[in-house]
Amino acid sequence: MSDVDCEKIIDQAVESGGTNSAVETHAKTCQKCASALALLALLKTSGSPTADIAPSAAFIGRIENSLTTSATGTGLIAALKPKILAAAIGVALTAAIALAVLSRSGSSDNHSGKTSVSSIEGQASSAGATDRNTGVNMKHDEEVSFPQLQFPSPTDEIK
Amino acid sequence: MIPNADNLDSNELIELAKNGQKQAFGMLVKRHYGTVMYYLLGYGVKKADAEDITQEAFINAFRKIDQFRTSGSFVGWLLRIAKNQHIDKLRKEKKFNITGSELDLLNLPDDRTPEIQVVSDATVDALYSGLKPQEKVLLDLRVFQQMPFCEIAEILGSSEGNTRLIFHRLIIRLRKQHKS
Repeated sequence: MSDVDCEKIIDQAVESGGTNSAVETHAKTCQKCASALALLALLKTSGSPTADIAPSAAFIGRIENSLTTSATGTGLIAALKPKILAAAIGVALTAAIALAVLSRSGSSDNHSGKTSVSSIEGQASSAGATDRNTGVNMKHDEEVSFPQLQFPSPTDEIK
Repeated sequence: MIPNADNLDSNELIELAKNGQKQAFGMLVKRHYGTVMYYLLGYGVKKADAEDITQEAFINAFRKIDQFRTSGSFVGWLLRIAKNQHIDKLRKEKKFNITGSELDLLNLPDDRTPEIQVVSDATVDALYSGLKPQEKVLLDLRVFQQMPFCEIAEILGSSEGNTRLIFHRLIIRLRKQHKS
């Protein structure tokens, strides 16, 4: 068998995490693959080559501290999220209502300004007309309440 | 407190970590610390810097753990975070000058400091002692994490064919050492 085929056998053994029938059959006829498979089995039992350096206690301590800070921060954000959302909705609603009120009062000011001026003018003109007819100015109600004196008319003597 | 956390597989630990179990995440840190460290050492990062980047990578991983889908490889995801963290650090120091060209695994220098060599050579068995950091990562990702070559290639910044070639040459080398 070629080297390429041997590589495929090794790959199969690695990917299957052990040996299968095809690998076993090949290993019986190929000395190189048999020793490579024995080597892989040895490596598996002895552990990863990267496991020879372990984190120090100080390193673990620093990580744990950071995780606590991170978790606290995340928890705080999670706890505050609904409140922040409610506050934001409240602010938005207030702003919308204030804007609506302002725009409405602005338009009604223009409209009512015109109305009040014309009504005042109308009232003033009607009052003026009344005053001109009666010959008195203002205090109509007070004069009505007083008794009217009846003076004899100059034509009464003729009668 | 998680009973028998040592016996849980990575996906179970990830699910617990997603629910805020820091102890489960601590177990993931212990399991994958070496892979991330060797991965960074393989890029020529000094040990102290590698430790800082590894720490930041794990903290970021915990913050973003909800984004991780268990259909993918956790260690692959973690190494991508570490790689981005490393690139960010280089950018800040204005040392980043990789112009998208793939890293050649064959020509990777052995950047282990004498200190790391002494420590690792004293603790690992005879087969592992001669491996470069990048080779250790490759062996870990392929044999222990059973990651496909395409994903390993993406993580290591190489082509799939090149990664496959390096792995099989590594196995032949180790086989010869083991035999002798």
